Amino acid sequence: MLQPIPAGFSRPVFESQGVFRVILQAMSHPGQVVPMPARPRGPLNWPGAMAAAVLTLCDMDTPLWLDPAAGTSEALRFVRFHCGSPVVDAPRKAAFAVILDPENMPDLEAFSSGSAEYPERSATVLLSVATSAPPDRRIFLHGPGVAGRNEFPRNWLPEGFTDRWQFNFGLFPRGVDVILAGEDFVVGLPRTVSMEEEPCM
Amino acid sequence: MSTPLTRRSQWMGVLALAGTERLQEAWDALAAPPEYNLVRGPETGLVMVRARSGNGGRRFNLGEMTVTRCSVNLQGGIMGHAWISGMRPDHARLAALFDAMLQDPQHSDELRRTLVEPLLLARKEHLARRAHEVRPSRVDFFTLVRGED
Repeated sequence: MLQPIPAGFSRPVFESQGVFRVILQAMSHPGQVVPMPARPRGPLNWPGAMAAAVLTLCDMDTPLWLDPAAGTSEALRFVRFHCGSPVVDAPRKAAFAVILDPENMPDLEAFSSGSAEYPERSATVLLSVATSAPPDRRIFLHGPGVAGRNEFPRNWLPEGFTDRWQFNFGLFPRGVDVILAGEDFVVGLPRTVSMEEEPCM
Repeated sequence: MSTPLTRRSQWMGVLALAGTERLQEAWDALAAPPEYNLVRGPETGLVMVRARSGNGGRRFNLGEMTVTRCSVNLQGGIMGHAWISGMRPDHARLAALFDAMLQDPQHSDELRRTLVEPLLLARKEHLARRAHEVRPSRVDFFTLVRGED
């Protein structure tokens, strides 16, 4: 009987519009750290920006895949109640994926990369970022929407991600898009951006 | 027949149909109103009411109606939900709160006695009165056997 559902937005219309604007900003300026205006409580262990992005982007037409760390029974109740999204068991079937444990995430190829005719039918992968570790090296981004180059700490992404990204980048116009979600910010990594790690000293 | 589910739909029904003032009075009369969080709403929107003629024909869209819904979470983790007609956010919030409290064994007996039973009775009386009022104008249609062959 006791199956509480975490609260969603308190003002759903205004907050989801605000969050959508922020996600647009992030996707059109790859690598830029964009502050998240609303942070609903969301399920336990979900970063605030992750819950906000899911509430904004997902509805009954967007199959959602949750990695084992994200897919708690509380989180399932949360997305079913607030978004009404079907939760799917295979990454390939998902329009959006929530990943709370990036180190053990599936390969990007496991997600739908769309088709040549309909590249927009690909998946958008929401990746949780832990900012607690001190930054080591940096990652540089180039591409449309980036003036010169953008950068962020390498350990915001899982080990070996830049190599996997090169493959995804090569699929253009197909490919998945990634949104990094921290506690109070998002970073957009659309398929158009190229990524390189700062060389070791 | 009365199962926990039918009992709950019964009280959700009368809470939705009661007057807002009646629910507010009952809330004000509580010795210790519970702490709660709003999980969703109260928010107002439109729902499409669908029907079947004679309860058996094809389903058709009857029309849209305004609905206010609200979901609350009591401190102990019990959830209450309400969907009511019209634009009455306070009513939806109170109905959801009472729905949650009625699932809580600590409050349910008291609330059933002071709130749900009287509302059920009032509802029954209201329906009986309406039936009585319209009975004189009732018309029964029937066809006599015509015996044409």
